[in-house]
Amino acid sequence: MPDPLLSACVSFLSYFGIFAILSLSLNLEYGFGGQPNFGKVAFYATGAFVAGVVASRLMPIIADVTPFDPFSPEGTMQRISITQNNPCAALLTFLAALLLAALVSGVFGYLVSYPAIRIREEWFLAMVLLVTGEILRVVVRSYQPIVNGYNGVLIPNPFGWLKDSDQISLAYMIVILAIAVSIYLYINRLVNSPFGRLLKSMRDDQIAAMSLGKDLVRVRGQVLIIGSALAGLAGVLYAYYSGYVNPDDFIPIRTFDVWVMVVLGGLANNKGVLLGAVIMTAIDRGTQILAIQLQTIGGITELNYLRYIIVGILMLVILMFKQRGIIPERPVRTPAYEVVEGE
Amino acid sequence: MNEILKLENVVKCYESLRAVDGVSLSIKEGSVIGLIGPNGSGKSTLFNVISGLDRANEGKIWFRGIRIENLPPHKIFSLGLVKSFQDPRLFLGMTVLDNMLVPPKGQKGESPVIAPLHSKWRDQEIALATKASELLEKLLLKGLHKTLSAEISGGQMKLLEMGRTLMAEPRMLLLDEPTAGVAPKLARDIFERLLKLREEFNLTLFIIEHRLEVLFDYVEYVYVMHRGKILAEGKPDDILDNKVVAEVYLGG
Repeated sequence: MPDPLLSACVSFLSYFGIFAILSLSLNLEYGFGGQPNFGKVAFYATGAFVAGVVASRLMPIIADVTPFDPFSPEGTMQRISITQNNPCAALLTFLAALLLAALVSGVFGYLVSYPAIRIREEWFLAMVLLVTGEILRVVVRSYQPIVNGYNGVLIPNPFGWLKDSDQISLAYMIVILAIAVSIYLYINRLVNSPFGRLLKSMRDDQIAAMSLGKDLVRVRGQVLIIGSALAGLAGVLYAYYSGYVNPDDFIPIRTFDVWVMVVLGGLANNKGVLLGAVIMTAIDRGTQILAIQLQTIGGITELNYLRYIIVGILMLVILMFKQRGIIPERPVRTPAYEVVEGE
Repeated sequence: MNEILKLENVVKCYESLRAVDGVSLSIKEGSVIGLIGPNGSGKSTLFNVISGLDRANEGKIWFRGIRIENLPPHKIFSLGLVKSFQDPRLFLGMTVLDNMLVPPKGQKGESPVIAPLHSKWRDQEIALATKASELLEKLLLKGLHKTLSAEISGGQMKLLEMGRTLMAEPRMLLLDEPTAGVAPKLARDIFERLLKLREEFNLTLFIIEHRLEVLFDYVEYVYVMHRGKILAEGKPDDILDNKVVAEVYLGG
């Protein structure tokens, strides 16, 4: 395979894996549970910021060297040299970032939604989370000690010790896909259960679910913890993929990209949501590559708008002709149906 | 017989409107009680207050001897007091069988930690599905297990809601117009089935109903509400003879 094509494939699959995790987690929250998370980006960003903090502060400790100022050129060089010479420390740092990000994002998700999930009107939650995302971005970009403010922080790829850059991105892509596949399998098991039924009952009629004895405040909290923790994982994966933690990557439109994937592919259908992620990755990467190509031949300079135009048209078409998404919802599958089919 | 539900001077206000205005009543276990009154007299509000969906501003409520006026709906439910809705509030995106399987208490698989470990809740799930399947057969809803509840007829929705309520193993049902919107013949049918289920499950029934001619054939005792207050109470025959009640109904 020619090199440019290979690297395009690797980049496509890496982005797909990250988008898939984000859209699966939003699907759990909104598709199944009816909780409109308009602040997905907040937890995605939290994961990336945790990765930045762990790489810049924890890595020298794990490698057992005297740390430099993490945001100085020496600090950056130190991280790169540890990664190249100490694979074990590089991978351990990455693993620590994943675990901590899931934990911090999950707790953060619970705390910011704590007041809003006590109100029956779910769109309060949507607004609270939307605002949370923007506040978090503005605070982190302005408060230098976290990830060096708007300058961001460089974090080397956990496979930086491999010899050439194609190998590095290939190995990292495999890790992303392995995590994405595990999350897909986990969520599928999670929702094809009485818990999945509980989520759907909350989504369909919360008054009825409450009067049938369901503690919905608790369920909302649970689903937001899980969804936010998963988004945090996606944030770590993205941060290490781009090699750089930059607060301004996490603007509100990132949230709505994920919404498009979920609505496009099919609410409450995990396979559909994966398809939505494929389509969005294709549009995202396609317009990106096209923009670079056109720029080199000196054509149109600002092609980013094309992406939004395509997404907009696609959404309109879906909402007009296939309201339930490309692959519609299926009933929860539990052993209960074996009883019925046995008759 | 023991007292199962007792209300003492319950008040529920919406701004200046006293929707429920000092209601006291007492219901014995195993009885079938009616609640009637013109539209807007506060009947549905009273049911919402008892079931915890609305909170009373004043007054005390006991269910099986436990004070419940400050408990959240899911706690009241777990004591065995279950309310059905005027219009069936089914989970329309779910199948008939899944609707039946939502209410049972203590489902292990409802915890997100245990849910992915299917072997931990498999047996319980099969037992519940067997029970649901038997109940669906009794309610003449057999063969509809896999149908989405949005796709069944209005009468079937009523029956499904009844079945769903029974899956919760209630001690007492608050039924808000169980025959609203169904044909007159089916209305009697629904009451017949309710009374049969009551015997089988040893239930106490508290029923709001506008079809007095049907209701009065089945209940033992009736409360009449008007403008948030209990206007009269007594056996069905006494209520029919009560001039004040007739005036309220005719005068609207």
